[in-house]
Amino acid sequence: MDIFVSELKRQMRAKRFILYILIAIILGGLWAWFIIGGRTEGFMMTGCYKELKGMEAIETAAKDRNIYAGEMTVDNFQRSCEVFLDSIKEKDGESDIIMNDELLKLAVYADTLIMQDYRLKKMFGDDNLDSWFPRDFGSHFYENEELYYQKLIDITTKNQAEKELALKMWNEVEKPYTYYGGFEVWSDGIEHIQIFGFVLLIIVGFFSSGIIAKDKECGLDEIISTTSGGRRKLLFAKLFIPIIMGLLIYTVGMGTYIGILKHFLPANALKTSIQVCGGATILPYSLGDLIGKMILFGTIGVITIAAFTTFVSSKANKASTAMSIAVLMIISGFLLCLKGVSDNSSIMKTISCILPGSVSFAGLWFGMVQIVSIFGKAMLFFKFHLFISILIFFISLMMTSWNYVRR
Amino acid sequence: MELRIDKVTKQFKDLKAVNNVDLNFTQGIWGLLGPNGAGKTTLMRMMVGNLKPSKGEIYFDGHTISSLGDKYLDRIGYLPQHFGYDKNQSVENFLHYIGCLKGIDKVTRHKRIVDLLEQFNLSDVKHKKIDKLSGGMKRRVGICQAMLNNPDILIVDEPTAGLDIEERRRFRQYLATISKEKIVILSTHIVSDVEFIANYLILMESGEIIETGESNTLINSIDGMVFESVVKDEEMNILEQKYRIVNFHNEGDGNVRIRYIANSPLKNSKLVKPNLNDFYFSKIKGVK
Repeated sequence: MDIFVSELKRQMRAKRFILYILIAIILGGLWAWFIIGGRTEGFMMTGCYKELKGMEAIETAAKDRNIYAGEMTVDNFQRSCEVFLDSIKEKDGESDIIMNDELLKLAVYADTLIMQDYRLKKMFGDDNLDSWFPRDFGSHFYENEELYYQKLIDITTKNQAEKELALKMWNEVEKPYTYYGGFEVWSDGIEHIQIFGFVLLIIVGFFSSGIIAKDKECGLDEIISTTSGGRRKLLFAKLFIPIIMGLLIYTVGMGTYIGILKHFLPANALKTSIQVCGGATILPYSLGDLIGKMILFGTIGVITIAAFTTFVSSKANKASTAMSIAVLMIISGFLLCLKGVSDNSSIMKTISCILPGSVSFAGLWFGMVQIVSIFGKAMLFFKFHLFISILIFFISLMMTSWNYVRR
Repeated sequence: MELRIDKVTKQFKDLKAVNNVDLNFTQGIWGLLGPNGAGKTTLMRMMVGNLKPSKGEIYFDGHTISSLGDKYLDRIGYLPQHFGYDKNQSVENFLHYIGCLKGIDKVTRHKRIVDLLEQFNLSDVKHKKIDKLSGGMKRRVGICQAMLNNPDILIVDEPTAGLDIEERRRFRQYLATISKEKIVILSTHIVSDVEFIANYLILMESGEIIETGESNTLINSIDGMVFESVVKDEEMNILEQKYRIVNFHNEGDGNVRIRYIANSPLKNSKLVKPNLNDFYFSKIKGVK
C-alpha cells in the first residue's frame, strides 16, 4: 500500500492532477455550451423559431411540442397528417408549407411521418420521392412501422438466429412510441457523448503513455529494478493508476457535460423512444437508456485504452512512442467504426472492435440492425464489441504484468 | 562477505560485451577501470541483476544472486551511469520514493534520509526539484538513494562523468567516507577517480579482465619501467611508434618532456616512480 501511495503521489502530483481535471471540466462545459447555446429549432425549413437561439429556442419549441407529448397515438399521427397536408400550398408547381399553430404543436408527429414515408419509399423502391403521403397515412403509422422493420430485418440479417434476435428486440420496442419536448437536443447531446469521449480518450492515453516509458526514458527504471520492491511491487500501482486517473478524467469531464445538459434540458425528454429520434433502430430503448449505455461504453473504453496504453508504455522506450500508438489506435477505432457503419462492412466493424478504446463509439451500433453471429449464435453487435473490449482490457493487464515484471 | 563472479559472459547478438570474467570482490573500494566500451557497465548491470549473464553465475556469499532475489537486492546500492530521476520530484520526495521501493519502513526511512542529506550536504536543497540542482548535487542525490538501505555492496557506474574537478574530488571523498565495511565497486574511465581511494583495481578492455589486484601491487609491477625524458618535437612521431608515451609537456624551443614506459630507456632518461596512470597506459592495448 505504501508503494501504491508513493507512486500515486508521484504520478498525480497536485499541478498535473489539477491540470488534467481542469481540462476535462472546461471541455465538458464548452461541449455542453456548444450543444445548448448554439441550438436552433425549426421544421421543414419553414423558418419557425428562426429568431430564437439556445435555451430560448429549446424552451419555446418544447412548449409547443409538449401539447401532444407522451404516447404517440395513431389519432395524433392522423391528425398531424391532415394538418400537415392542409398546410401545403402549391404555387407555380412548387410546394410551400405554411406554418400554423397546430402544425407547430404536431411537428414531431409530422416529422416522424415524413421520415417514415421516405424510408418506406426507399425500402420498397418507390422512385416518387417528391410526392406527399396519402391523407390517411397517419392512421397506418404503426402498421407501416411494422412493414418497414420486418423488411429491414429480412434484408439485413444473415441467418435465422439473427432474424429471431432482431425480431425479439423489435417486438420489445414499446408501441405507441413516446416523446417529450426537448428530446431533439438530448439526442444531439447523446450523439456528442461519443465525440467528447473520443477527446477524453486521447487525454487518458496521454496520461497513461508515460506511466512506465517515462521511467525508462529518464533512467529511473534502472534504479527501480534494483530495489527489493522493484517492478514487481510497483506493478499494481503502474496498472491501476492510469485506470483510476482515466476514470476520474472521464467522470469529471463527462459528469460536467451531462450535468449541464441535465440542468438545462427537460428531464422527461429522456423518456422519448429512440425510434422517434431520426435513425431507424430495432432496439427497445429510450433516450435515458441510451445515455446510460453510452456512458458505460465510454467507461469501458477509457479503462481499455488506459490498460492498453500502459502495456504499450511497458514496451516502448519513449512516452511519445506510446502516446503515438495510443492516439493511432483511438483514431483508427473511431474511423473504422464510422466506416463500418456507413459501408455496413462486417470486416471493418470486426477490426474496429479489436482496436482498444473503440468501444467508446459502440453507440454507432445502435442504428438499423446491427447483429453478429458467432458459432451460429446471434448477438447484438454492441454487446459483442463490449465483450471484446473487456477481453482486451484483461489481456492488456496480463501482458503489461508479464512484460513489466519479466524484464 | 564475498561477491564472486564466476566465468560470466554476456553476449548481445554478435557482440560479446563481457567475456568469461572471473572476479572475487571482498571488502574495500574496487576501481573498475577501462576505456569506453570495455564492458564495465554491462558487468555492473549484471551485478545488480538488471541483466542476466549469457553464461556463468554471480554469487553472493555462496548463493547465486538470482536465487537470493530480494535478499540480495536489499543488500546492494546502485548508482547507474545515467542517474535517472523524476524531474518533478523534490530531493526529499525522491528519496522517500526510492526508500519505499527498497522496503524501508517510514520511520527508519525518514531518519535515514535526514542523516544522508546531512552527510552529503543536501539538507538545504531537500525541497528543491532534482532537476534544478547542479550536476554534482544530482550525483550526491544519486549516492544518497543508493545508500538509503545502508547496503553492503555499493555499485557506482561512472559517478564523476560530467563533473568538474572540484566536484570530482568531493565525490571521491564521499565514497572514501562511506566505504567502511562495504564492497564498493566504482567504474570509471578516468584514472584519477580511483587513484587515491581504490584498494583494488580491475582493468577491463574489450569485455575481458586485463589485470586485477591490489592497487599498490599492480602499480609497483611496472616499477623501473617508467621514464621521463626531454626530446625534440620532430622526434615525437617516431617515438610514439616505439614507446608507450603516457604524457608529454611542451617545454618550448622545440623541446617536449615525455613520460613513457619502456624496458630499455632512451639516452638521458630519468627513472620515475610509476603511478596508476602509467599502469593503465601500460596495460590497455587500445590506448597509444
